[in-house]
Amino acid sequence: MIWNFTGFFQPVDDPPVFNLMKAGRAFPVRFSLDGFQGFGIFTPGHPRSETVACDPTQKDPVEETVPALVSVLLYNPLNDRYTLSGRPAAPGRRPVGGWCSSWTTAPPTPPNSGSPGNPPHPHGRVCVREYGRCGLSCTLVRMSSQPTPEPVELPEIPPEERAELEALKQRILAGDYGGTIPWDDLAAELGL
Amino acid sequence: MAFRVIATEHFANQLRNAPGELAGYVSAVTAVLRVDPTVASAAFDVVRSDEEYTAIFAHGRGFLIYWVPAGHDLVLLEWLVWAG
Repeated sequence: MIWNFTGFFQPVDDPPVFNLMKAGRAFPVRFSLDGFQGFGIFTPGHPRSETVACDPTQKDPVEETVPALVSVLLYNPLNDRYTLSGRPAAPGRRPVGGWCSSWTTAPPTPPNSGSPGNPPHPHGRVCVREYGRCGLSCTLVRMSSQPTPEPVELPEIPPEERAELEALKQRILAGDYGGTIPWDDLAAELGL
Repeated sequence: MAFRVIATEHFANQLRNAPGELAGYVSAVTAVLRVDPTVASAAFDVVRSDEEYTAIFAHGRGFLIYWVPAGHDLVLLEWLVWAG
């Protein structure tokens, strides 16, 4: 069994386009596995990013970026999209003129499937440049790669607690703050 | 303009029983939320789902789920998760 992988979706364009973004940011990588398949979906060593040679002839800015502090894997059941915040690899010593990297996932292999896994799925290359340092040529310089951090799974509020919480929110919107504590009071109580 | 910050009873109890390190993180995150709860800071990342946000701090060991209702200048601290 191999899951039905589709993607990647916007804001990342498929090859041969080089997706252009500024250093220090991450980009949302969106894909579908035809339904929620859990969060343990990547084969070991993936996703990963590595630096590659640049081709400046086809380039497109990444329209949507996020802070590159933590790598997060999310699933949205409303549109059947996994979203992973991806960070392009950067050389150990950043060259003047920027650098390019290729960001890759391995299409997931379910546990105990006996499948050797799909080959890595290359996705649009991300071309990075320093602020104010270079044009869009992204001259290739000797590169090294940088490991991609493990994705973080976001916690879920238990369903029974969620129901109570939603009721509380409705009361708050109606002006009833019962069942809540002002942060200042809590902080004072705890000496924060 | 500062946002009004309130906490659920559950959150308050979680914090009362939290280690000092976590309480310190939460205090710092809340100080940022009071100014603008809808943006990430240099200290932590934020993931948004509709009007609910999750602040991720301590290198992914801590999660603070909070709610920012549109047009209310209010932050409700809902839930805390700490992986130690």
